[in-house]
Amino acid sequence: MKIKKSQLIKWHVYAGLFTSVYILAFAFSSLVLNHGWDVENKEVTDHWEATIRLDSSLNNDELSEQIRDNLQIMGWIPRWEFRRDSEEFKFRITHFGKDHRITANLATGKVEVDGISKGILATFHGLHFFNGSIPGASKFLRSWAVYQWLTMAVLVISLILGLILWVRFNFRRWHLYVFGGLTLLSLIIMLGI
Amino acid sequence: MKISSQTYQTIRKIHLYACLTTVLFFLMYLVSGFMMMHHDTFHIEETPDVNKVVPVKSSDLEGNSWAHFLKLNGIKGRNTADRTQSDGTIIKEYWTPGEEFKLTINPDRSQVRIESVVKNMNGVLNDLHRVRSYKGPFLWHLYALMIDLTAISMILFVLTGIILWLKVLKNKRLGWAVLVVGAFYVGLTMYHLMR
Repeated sequence: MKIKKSQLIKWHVYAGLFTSVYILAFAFSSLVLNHGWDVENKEVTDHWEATIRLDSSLNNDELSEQIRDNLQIMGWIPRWEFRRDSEEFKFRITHFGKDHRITANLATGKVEVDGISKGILATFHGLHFFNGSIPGASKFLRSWAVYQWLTMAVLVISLILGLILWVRFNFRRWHLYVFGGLTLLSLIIMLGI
Repeated sequence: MKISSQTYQTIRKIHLYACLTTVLFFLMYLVSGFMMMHHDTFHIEETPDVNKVVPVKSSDLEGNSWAHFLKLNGIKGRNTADRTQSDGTIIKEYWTPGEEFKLTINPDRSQVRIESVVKNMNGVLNDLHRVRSYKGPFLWHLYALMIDLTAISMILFVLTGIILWLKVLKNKRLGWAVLVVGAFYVGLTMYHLMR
């Protein structure tokens, strides 16, 4: 069975369009990582307070997780940033899009929260590392794992269709020498470092 | 979308050449990214390799002599850590995809302990995925250049691909639907992450 060129182009285009935003996120993120650009906002963007029941007999790990779950904030808790004395417990909850600085009064249960939204560029960059699993993430955010899987599969399909289109309809002998050479050079760089 | 035939051909070539130029890096990132997503299946195994003590003179630890020492002892890659402990022991670490070296120079600078670990293929690919920035030996700069080229190629892919789609396909409704749904989902995900 021979598939028509127009059909191949259609599938290649649709597959490409489906993955386009994801590819842009990875491309942008690669440039950020390679050049060490700081794209993260560090200013406090929102502040709020709440009073919750605190069990001050808990250790730092347990208490920080209790506060996080009580406040329904998602994110990881860097253990090395715990600051605790007899009155206050300070820590941070973080993920790719936002930081929360928490200050909990152990006697009254009053919790002050400074939210630091990292901004659009930092969050777009963060998609590079996001696999759908952040402690406390909603079902919607967890669906990213499915999207990620699907996008990778579609990307491979798009790439294969593109290569078929090239080999069947656009192939020139010099392509083989020039791009084959560049691929060989890429391999030498990869193996050489 | 109205573009001349010549412009169309140029855009088509950019789309094709952008892919072909960086295809190996693109595939490496795709495969290693997939392996990182499923790190429970693709275990990284580290095996201790070298563990030896090499006598040195303090002059061996500077400039070209140090570079010669590294070459002589098969230590490759980028210097990732340099620290001096309170007793005067210096620890230097070097990293290259698939191999890590730890060099411990004793306080009187008379000997260097060399320890290394080697990783399996999963570890090599994982490390290749993590290489970045223009630092270290010459090939590492070339690698960083390839990262930039791959990223720029990916952006060109998408932009030229969209222009070609607008030119080539007559019925664009399905294309718009695919593009908008994908962008909307990513946008909504970012919104949920930022709020």
